[in-house]
Amino acid sequence: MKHRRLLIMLSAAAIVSVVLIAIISRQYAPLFQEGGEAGSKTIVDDNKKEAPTTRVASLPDVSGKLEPADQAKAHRKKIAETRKSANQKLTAVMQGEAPPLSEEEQAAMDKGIVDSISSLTQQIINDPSFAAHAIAMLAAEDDPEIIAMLAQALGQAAAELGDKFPSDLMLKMAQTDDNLGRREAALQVLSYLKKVSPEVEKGVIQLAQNAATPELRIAAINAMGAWVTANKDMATRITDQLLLARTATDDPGVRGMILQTVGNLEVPLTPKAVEAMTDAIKHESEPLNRSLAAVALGSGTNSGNRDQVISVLEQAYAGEQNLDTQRHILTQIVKAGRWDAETFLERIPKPHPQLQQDVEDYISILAQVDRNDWGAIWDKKSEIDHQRGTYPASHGGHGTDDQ
Amino acid sequence: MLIRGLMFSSALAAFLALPSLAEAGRIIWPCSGSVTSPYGPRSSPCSGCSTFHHGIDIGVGSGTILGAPGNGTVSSYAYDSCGGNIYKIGYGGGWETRFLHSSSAIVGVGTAVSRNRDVARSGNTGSCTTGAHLHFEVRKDGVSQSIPGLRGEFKTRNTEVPKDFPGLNDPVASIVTIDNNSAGFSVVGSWATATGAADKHGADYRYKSTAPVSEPASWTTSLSAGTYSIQAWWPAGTNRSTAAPYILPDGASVPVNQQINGGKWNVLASRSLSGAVTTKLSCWATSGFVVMADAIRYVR
Repeated sequence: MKHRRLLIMLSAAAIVSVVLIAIISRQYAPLFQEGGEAGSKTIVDDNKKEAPTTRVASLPDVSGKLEPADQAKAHRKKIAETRKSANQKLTAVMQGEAPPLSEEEQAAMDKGIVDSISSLTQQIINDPSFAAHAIAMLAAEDDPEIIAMLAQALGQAAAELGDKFPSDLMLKMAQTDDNLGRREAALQVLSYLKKVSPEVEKGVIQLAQNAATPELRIAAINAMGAWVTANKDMATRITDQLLLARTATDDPGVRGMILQTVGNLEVPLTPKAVEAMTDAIKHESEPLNRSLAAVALGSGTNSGNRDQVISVLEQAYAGEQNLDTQRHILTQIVKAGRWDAETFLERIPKPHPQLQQDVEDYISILAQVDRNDWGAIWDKKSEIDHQRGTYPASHGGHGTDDQ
Repeated sequence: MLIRGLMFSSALAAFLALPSLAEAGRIIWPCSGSVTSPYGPRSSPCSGCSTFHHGIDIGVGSGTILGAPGNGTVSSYAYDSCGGNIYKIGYGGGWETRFLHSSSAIVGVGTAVSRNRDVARSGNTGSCTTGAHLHFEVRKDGVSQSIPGLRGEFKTRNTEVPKDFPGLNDPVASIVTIDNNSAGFSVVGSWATATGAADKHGADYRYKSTAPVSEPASWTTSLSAGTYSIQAWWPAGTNRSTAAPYILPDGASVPVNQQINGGKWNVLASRSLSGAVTTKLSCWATSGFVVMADAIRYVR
C-alpha cells in the first residue's frame, strides 16, 4: 500500500514536470533555432540571392535563465516606450495637433531615450554574459528604430568588453538573419570592435565583397573602416580588401562608400591603392565618386608617393568636366603639394573664373597659415567660400553637381 | 517582486550618472525627428535644388534646438541665398558639419563646443527649402560624406549616427599655456625682466641680448598624447632679433622675426607630442639684438 502511494505521487510529480517543461519551452521557442541542428547553418551564398529562412543559429539556451531574459525584455520595453512616446509627441507637433514642445520637454524626452540605451549598455558591460540575452532580443526585434537603438547599446558594450563580447553571434546574425535591418545592425555592432578576431574579419570582408544587397556591403565596409580608425595596424590589409570590394561591384553607392573609407583611413596609400585611386578619379561615372577618389589621393600622400599623386591629380584636374569635382581636385593638389603648392597652382590651367579664384585664395592662405596644419588651411578656405557663397557642391544652389 | 526589483534597478541606473561611452569617430544626431529626404541621388524638390542631396533632411519645426554632432569649434555662420543661414562646425583635418536653413545661432563663431551642446536653432531660411527642416551635412575637404538614414526613419538627438567618421568627436581641443611666470618656465644665465611693452602676455616678460652662448629660456609641461600646434607669444619691437631661434621639443630650430607679429599667438610648428615636452628660446643669434621670452602654448 505504502509503495503504491509512493508510486502514484512520483508519477504525478513526473507528469507535472513534463507539463511545466512544455510550457516553458513553448514560451521561449523564438529563442531557439527553428528547425535544423544548432550550429549547422552555413553562410548564405548571397550570390544566389536566397534569403535565409532561419534566424540566428547557435544562440545560447536561456530556458533555465528566466531572470536575465526578463531583464532583457524590460530593457526592450523601456526603450520602446520612451521611443513611442517621443514619436507620438513629435508627430502631433509636426501635424499641428499639439503645441511645440518646450525646450525642457524636448530635452527630457531625448534624455529618456538615451538613458534607456545607456542602461542596457551598462548592464552588458557589468555582466558580459548578459550580452547573449541582449543579442537574442535584437534577433527577435522587427522595429527598425528599436533595432538601431539596440545596435548602439550592443556596439558600445562591444567596444568596452573586447574579447568578452560574443562577436561570433553578431557575425552569424550579419551572415544569416532573415531581416536586412538586423543584419546591418549586427555589422554596426561589429564596427565598434577595437580588436577583431580573424574569423570576424574574414566574415565581414566576405560580406563587403559578396553580399547580395548594397546596404549590407556598405555596412560591412563601414565596419572595416571603423576597425582601422581604432587600429592602424590593419590599414594595409583592409585597404587591399576594400580595393577588391570595389572591383566586385558596379553599384556607385557601394563604390562611393569604399572611396570614402579609403580616404578616411588617413594612412599613406600603398602603390596598389594609388593605382586604384588613379583609376577611380579618371573612370568613376559619378562626379562625387571622382571627388572622393581625389580626397583619398590627397589624404594618402607621403614623401614616397607624393610626386606620383600630384601628377595623377594634375592630369585628372585637366581632364575633369565637372566644375565642383575640379575644385575638389584642386584642393587635393594643395593638400598633397602644400609645401611648394604655389608651383602647381601657378601652372595648372584655370578655365573657369571660380578656379582662378580658388587658386588665388589658396596662395593667399598659404602665405598666412602653418603649412603643416591642413585643417587650418581648409578652415580658412571654407570660411572664405561660405562668406562669398561659393562653397563647392553646395546645397542645391550652384547646380554644377548635376552635370 | 521581480518586476518591482527591475523597476528599481532601472530607476537607479537612470539616476546614477552613467559614464560617457562616446567613441572617437561617432557623431550624434543633432535633433529628434523623422528623415524626410535621405542622402544621395533624388528628384529635385524645388527650383534651384540639386538632384544630388549632399546631406540628410530631418523634419523639425522652426526654432528646434540643434546639438553639436561632435567635439569641434564653431567655424562659420553665414547666409547663402539657397541654403539660408548655414551653421558650420569644424573638427580639424578638413572635417566639418553644416546645418542649413537655420534660424539662429546659440553659440557664436570661434567657440569650442562639445558633443550635444546646444548650438543653433533650425529654421526655414534660404530659397532652396519647401518647409522648416534641418538639412544636415558632414564634409571632408568640402566633399560630402554619406549619412545613413532612410525616409521615414525616426532619429533621436544624442543617439549615434551608425557610421564611423574618423576625426570627428576627437577629445575637445585642449590648450596648455606656459607664461614666463608659470612654474614650467626657467632660464639659464642672466635674463632681465620687463613690463614696458604693451603687447606682452601676462604681467611681464624676459629678455636677453643675443650672444653666441648656450643660455636658453625654457618652457616645460606635460601633455597627453596628441598632435599639437606649438605657438609663441612675444612683444615686438625694433631691437628684437629678426631670427630668434626657438628650439622645438624634437630639437628642430625655428627662427622667427620678433620685430613683427607681436601681441598674438604665432604658430611655430605642429608636432605629435606626449609626456614631458620642452620648447626653448636660444639667445644664439646675430649680435646687437635682444630675444624676448614671454609665453608658449600647445594647442591640440
